[in-house]
Amino acid sequence: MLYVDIGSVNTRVCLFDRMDDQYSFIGAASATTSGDITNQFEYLNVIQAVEKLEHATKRKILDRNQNIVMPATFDHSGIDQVAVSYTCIPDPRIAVMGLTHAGSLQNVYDLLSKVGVKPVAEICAEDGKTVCENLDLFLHTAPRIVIVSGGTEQGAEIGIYRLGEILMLACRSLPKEQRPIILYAGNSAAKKQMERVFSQITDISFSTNVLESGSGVQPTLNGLINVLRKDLESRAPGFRILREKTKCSVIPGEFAFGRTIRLMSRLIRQNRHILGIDIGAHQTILADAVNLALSLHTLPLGIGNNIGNLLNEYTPSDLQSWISFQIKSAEIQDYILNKSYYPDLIPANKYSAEIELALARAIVMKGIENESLSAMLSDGSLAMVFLSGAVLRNVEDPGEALMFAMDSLAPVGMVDYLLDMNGLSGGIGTLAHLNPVLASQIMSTSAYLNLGKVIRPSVRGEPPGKSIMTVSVRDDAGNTRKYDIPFNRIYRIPLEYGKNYELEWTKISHNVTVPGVKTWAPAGFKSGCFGLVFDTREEKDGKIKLPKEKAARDKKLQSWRTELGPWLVKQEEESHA
Amino acid sequence: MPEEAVHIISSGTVRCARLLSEDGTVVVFKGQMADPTTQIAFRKIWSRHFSLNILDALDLDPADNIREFLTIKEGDFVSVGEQIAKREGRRKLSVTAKASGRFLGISANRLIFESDPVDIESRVAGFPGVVTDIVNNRGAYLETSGSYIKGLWGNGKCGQGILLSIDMEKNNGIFDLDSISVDLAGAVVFANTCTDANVLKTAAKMTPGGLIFGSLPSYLLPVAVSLPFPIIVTDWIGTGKISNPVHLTLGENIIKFAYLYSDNSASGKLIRPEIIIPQDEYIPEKENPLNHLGIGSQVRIIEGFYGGELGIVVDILPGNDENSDNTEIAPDQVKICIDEETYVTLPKNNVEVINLKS
Repeated sequence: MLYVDIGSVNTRVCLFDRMDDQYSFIGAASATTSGDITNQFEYLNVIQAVEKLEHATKRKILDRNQNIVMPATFDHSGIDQVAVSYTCIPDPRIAVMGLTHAGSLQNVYDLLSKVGVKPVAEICAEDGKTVCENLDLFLHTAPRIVIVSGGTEQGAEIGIYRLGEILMLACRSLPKEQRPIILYAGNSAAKKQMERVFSQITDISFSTNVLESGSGVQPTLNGLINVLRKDLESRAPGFRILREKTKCSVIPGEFAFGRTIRLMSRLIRQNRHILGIDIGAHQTILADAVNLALSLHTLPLGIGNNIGNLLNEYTPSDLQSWISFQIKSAEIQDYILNKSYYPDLIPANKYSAEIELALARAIVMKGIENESLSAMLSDGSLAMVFLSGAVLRNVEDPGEALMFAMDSLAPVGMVDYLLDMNGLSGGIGTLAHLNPVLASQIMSTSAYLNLGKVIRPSVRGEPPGKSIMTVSVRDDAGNTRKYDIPFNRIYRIPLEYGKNYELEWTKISHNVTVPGVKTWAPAGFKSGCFGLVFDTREEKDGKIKLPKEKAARDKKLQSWRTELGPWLVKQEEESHA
Repeated sequence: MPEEAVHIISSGTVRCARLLSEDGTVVVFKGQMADPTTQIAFRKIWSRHFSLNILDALDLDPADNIREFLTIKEGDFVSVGEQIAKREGRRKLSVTAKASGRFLGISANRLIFESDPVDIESRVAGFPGVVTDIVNNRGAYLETSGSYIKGLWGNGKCGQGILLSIDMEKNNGIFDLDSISVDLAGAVVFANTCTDANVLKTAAKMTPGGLIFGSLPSYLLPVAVSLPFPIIVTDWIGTGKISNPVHLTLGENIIKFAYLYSDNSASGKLIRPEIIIPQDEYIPEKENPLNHLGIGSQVRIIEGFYGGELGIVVDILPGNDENSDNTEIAPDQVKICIDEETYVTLPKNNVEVINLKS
């Protein structure tokens, strides 16, 4: 099984093999995503990555004509299945048309949230705009896809034709090459008439009515994915070659990542959230799932070709905040712009690595300004954070990734942190429908690095003394140790990776709570590589409080990193308390 | 996504893509010679729409089929004063256009017109070359022989001029006030870097053909964008020297004609700027009467009694060749119609082809 992720900077391939009904991860390789429309570069980049994979795994996957051998042969050459996700062609520019905001358009918005897309234009019959106003709005946004919705079954029909008239005029206004693809998801009574008119003008597809009672948006999702693929193949013909040659399924990376997080929400307790963060070169995806319900947010900010957008959101001096060495704001601005022009640059020293992680913090802090996300960070309902993206994967020490998450999210309560070390984040979501066995096995095995459990209490007012709580940790053998947790620092209790422990809350100060945690009962847990971490740093407006003065701030940042310590620490070593 | 790897060609075949980011209209053909200003492809929209009610003007009933009264068809362009609709019969009524536009269609008994077309994306050649490949609905590849550098950042302007260098030994090759002289006018000048916004603004007064820097600090980029001439950064955003390969390639082409191409019109996509230095001297096709003069060409008479007059070439008369009996070789002559009654015959060299832009 070959899983391919075509990103805007790198094309990554991951190989899985099945032995005795058990899948195992064999290896991964990457090639730079580069080229232009004339040479079907997406396909060629995949082949380049597979060549590297062959070299790394000593397996034969390509034949002498550089085609992927399918299906696999008895001598273990080739592969049986290919699944592809992509983020290299962002922003399909979707316009939505509907009869009512609360009805059809709301359902279309729900549908689009599954793939992390925000529409570029909305035309609603309720708004009372003239045809000319709607045409101006529509044409200025130059949508590539239009979703037409409205009317329940046996419901409104004339209103649909009015929308259709606007769309027809808009299509006529454009040369044939610039006309959008249409997805009709409205009252099926109008389907015949829509097909008659639009099939001669542009490409039209049909899916089930988004307002069909009881069905929700799920049946329409397949129609949307198909239309997105159609648009993708017209913009990047290499995908068509890839699909035709490998019979693979191709789905948007945002959707794949969202589905991964949604499925992972089954692994945690009911009514607790899992937050997935995928920092790409072009965009950042924030996926929040609880009880299999997903909320997906994409930010047009990344650590590659879209890093320049950070300068629209922050001043360079704001971006200095999380850098612990002396650097001029102009140098940060230079770094950002150079990175936007050389998105495949890899930080070659600890300074540039720190700059990138500081910029990643700024991106995530911008992302969690969204109301629905910020609520779960402050009420203790967040149980797990899943970190993904090359900027986090390529850190020298996973502690950098953990610090990044603790600094930028600062969630109160008890939160587990997972790091996607192998770039498999979209894998589960992509493979889920194609090979559910493999998807479930990736989830149940240790394909992701468990960084550890971080407990961040909520402290009201001045803390009573140096220690805000006392806890005891008991291992499998029954050995118990007590720890006094100090205020305003990071306190790490190193534990043996992968072992089971039990945490007991011995004493908690009266003005200290741990939201979302039953502190009257012991909590069992499996240790991550950083053991148990208490983050009692002061906060202001939900964010970690940093000293205003640069020198003091640098010192503080360095001391926090020292307090967390390196990845490999012997259990016997005391933390730096 | 990152661009392809070839960034410098010191001498050889230069092949440049002029592709739209999305499908649009391509207006060149394979084998076509392109000027720097030749448009290759564009994506266009009509930016303004307005409607016209003709029911009242023609005294029609809402139930009437207004199509029967139209004198224009969908897609027709109408100018101010042009008839749009008329009603025959005892009461002859007509409606004329009060604004120019294209008739798009009818909605709710109102005529919908559109006007103000704008290119949301456009590609021009940027240098003289030959169209060697067409990419359907996207654009074309152009080729020439010469030198080529793909830069890092451009300010979105195109231009050209004789390539010159500042004195790289002086002041670390930094473009400063001392670098600005009358030589800058119309020239493309390269330097290591520039650190002062005022220097760039002062340079603009000399109307240079363009500036090339190895690096430029990010705080100067907004100033560079605001200037009317092209500025290209080849290596790095920041302050530093121009890289050796770039320096060598530019240095070998001093006093040749360089074309700077920078286009930021694509939606959100970073397009690297290009420096193209064709091997041979370029004579713009449209300005070369010897290549382009033919029957029907519009010409201007350069001197003599009819000097300054415009006319149309109606005949080309070959001059004497060396085998004729005449001792002097007469040049080719052209017969020009100045007006209905005035025809003159002049040496071909005494006229120049003019191209009035419509």
